[in-house]
Amino acid sequence: MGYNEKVLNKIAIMEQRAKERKALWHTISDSFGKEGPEGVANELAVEMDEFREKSDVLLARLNDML
Amino acid sequence: MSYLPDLTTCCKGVDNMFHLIRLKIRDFRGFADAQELNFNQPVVLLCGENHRGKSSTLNAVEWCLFGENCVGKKTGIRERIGWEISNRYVSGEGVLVEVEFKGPEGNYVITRELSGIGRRASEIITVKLPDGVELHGDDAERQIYTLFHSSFQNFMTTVYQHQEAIRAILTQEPRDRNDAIDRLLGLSEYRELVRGITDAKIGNIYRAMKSEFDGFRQRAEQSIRIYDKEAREKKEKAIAEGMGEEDITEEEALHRAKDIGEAVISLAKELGINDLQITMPQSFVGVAQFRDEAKDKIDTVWLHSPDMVKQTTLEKKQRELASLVGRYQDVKKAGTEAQTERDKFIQQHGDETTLVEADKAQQKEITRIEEEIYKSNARASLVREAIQYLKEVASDIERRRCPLCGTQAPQLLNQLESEWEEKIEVAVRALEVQRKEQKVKLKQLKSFKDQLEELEKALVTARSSFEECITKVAVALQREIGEHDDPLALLNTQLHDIASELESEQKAIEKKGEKRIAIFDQLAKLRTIDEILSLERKKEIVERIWSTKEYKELDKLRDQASQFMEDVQAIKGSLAIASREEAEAKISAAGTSLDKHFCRIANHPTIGGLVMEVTEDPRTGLNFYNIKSRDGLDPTPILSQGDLNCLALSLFFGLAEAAEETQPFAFLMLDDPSQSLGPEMEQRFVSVLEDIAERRQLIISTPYVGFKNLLMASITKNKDVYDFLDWTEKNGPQIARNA
Repeated sequence: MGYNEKVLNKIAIMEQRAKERKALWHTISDSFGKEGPEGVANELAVEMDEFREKSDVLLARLNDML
Repeated sequence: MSYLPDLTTCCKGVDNMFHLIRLKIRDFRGFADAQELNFNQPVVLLCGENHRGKSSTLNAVEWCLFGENCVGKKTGIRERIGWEISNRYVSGEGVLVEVEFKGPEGNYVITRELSGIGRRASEIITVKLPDGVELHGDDAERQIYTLFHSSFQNFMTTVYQHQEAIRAILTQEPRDRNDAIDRLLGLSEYRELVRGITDAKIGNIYRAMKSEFDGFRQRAEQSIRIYDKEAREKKEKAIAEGMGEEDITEEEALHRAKDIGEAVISLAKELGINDLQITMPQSFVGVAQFRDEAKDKIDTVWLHSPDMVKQTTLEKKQRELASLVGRYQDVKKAGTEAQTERDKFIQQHGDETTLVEADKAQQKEITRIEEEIYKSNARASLVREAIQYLKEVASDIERRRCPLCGTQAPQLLNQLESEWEEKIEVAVRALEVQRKEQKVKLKQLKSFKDQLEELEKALVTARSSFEECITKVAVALQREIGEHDDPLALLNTQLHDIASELESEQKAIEKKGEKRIAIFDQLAKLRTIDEILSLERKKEIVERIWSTKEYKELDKLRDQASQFMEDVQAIKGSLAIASREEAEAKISAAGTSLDKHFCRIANHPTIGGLVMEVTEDPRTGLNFYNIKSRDGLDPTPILSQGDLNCLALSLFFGLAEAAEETQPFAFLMLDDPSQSLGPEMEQRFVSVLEDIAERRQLIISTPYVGFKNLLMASITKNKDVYDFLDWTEKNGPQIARNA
């Protein structure tokens, strides 16, 4: 059993968000397969940046209300 | 002698495994034209100097089986980053590696080819089955996995001992050694994945996001406090100044605005402006604009009202006449002074006629004196000539006697000459003094004439200015100024009339001004109400921020980001746990064998045996390996490079032996395994290899002649030797087989 299945097994027994974490793990392992650790770093940073960008837009609107 | 027919006797338990029997390499790494190596003996040695193609030969087997999986950073092998498959020095037919295995059901030929380079490179994989059927592409890849059930990581830890693995474990840096042991255990992918997750630095991004969110909350709360404080203070002040609390409402503000608007229009009418329009606010929002408009309208109406215009005109006239009074007094004074000065001068020095007459008389006197001087000079000249004549024509006797009385006078002529000269000189000198004095007087007379002329001019100018001023007064008063009129009195009378008029006008304006001030007072109160209510409204808006769609979305987004962080951390934790469990399982499986091989090869005088444990590095979450001697002490400070080499080999053999039962490959490939071993360690290592050769085929690469000779002398199985004699760009390695 390779690392992929082993990590999936660990996620499967989690009580919380197992489904979402499985999906995230697939994204991470796909990026790793294609571009190695840089791919993983980039994928996660992009996803987190999306939160940041949306947050910036909302904050700008809220700041205008002050 | 062929190795394969004797498999069942020389390598126990290998009849269900796959034996490497042939390898063909073309254009792979340092290889050029196709070369073929056969592996028919239990032990195959690849010998030769570094950079002759030995490692590439072993790498070719790996690449043929695993293709792209054994290339790049994901392998955890530093040397595999940017690893070139194609030979950079030749442009031949393309890369080809063909490996023939003998399996339980017959021979399998796996061929992997690569054409093109970089992104355009394309791989072709073919598997030829014992029945002659050929599989290609994905079918071929699936067949390889079905046959061997082995990943690149497994192959690397249990079949192929990389020389880099030993090199890496020789490091004294704990972090690098942990990394190297992970590699030896085939756990690099976990490590690389954890590294990728760590390098994303999503924690930093989340913290920045959270900090901005918290900053916004603080600013909003601060704004609420400020608006509240300002509104309360203004309200308290307004109430203290007499405003009722009930006045501070939007409705009251609108009523007040309406009253102010009507008052402005009423005032405009009183000021004589009947067409003033003012926009009344329809809601509280329009109050601020109304305040500005009302103030502008009042100012405009006030400035353009007839009373104000009249007052302005009178004030202008007043300023003009006051200025003329001053001017008149100045020019009058200047004229009087010019007249007085001229009259006084005439009294002292005479008028122009007197001065002209005096001048003529003076000229005449000078002429007379000059004639006198001339005559005296003429007489002197005549006498001087006569004496000179007598001196020339008279005899000595005559010159010594007086011609009148006949008495002896020896110096008569000379004496006469001196006396005469002295007399004339005195007379002429006196005349010259007179002439000089007269000339001074004449000059003074001329100066008087000039001064009188200047005084006359000044008087003319003063009179002209006076006349000009009188004209201006006449224009200002709009009447003729006769000879007998007193302009100053006329001006003062007019000024007095204007002052009276202004006084009555001012009274009228002040009365209307009181209404204007009352409106301004109302406007100020309206402004206060507007400000208080605006501050309260702003406070309410900020308070409502917490229930806005944007804030709710932001809060949700922050939760999602936090959840994402937790998910990533959970996955990172899972990776760390899975990696550690796998490491524990492998170490446990290899443990006895590891200890046995280490003791046997290293034969350390103070370390009786080794125990390896794995824990979690609390800082990175990665595996941390503790190597302990059997007595529980840390042996690493006393482990030599050779001992560490032994540790790496023992770990590899331990893992290989642990996997033996399920291992599909009947061979082990060892690349430069003796790199840091001393002669005695080498000897002991070879005896271990002798034992392993009982069960597995060994393919060993080494650059050391001594080690080769030791293997040749000590390994009792049949051996094949491939000498890598030379390497050239054009031809690749030159390989000679010495059975």
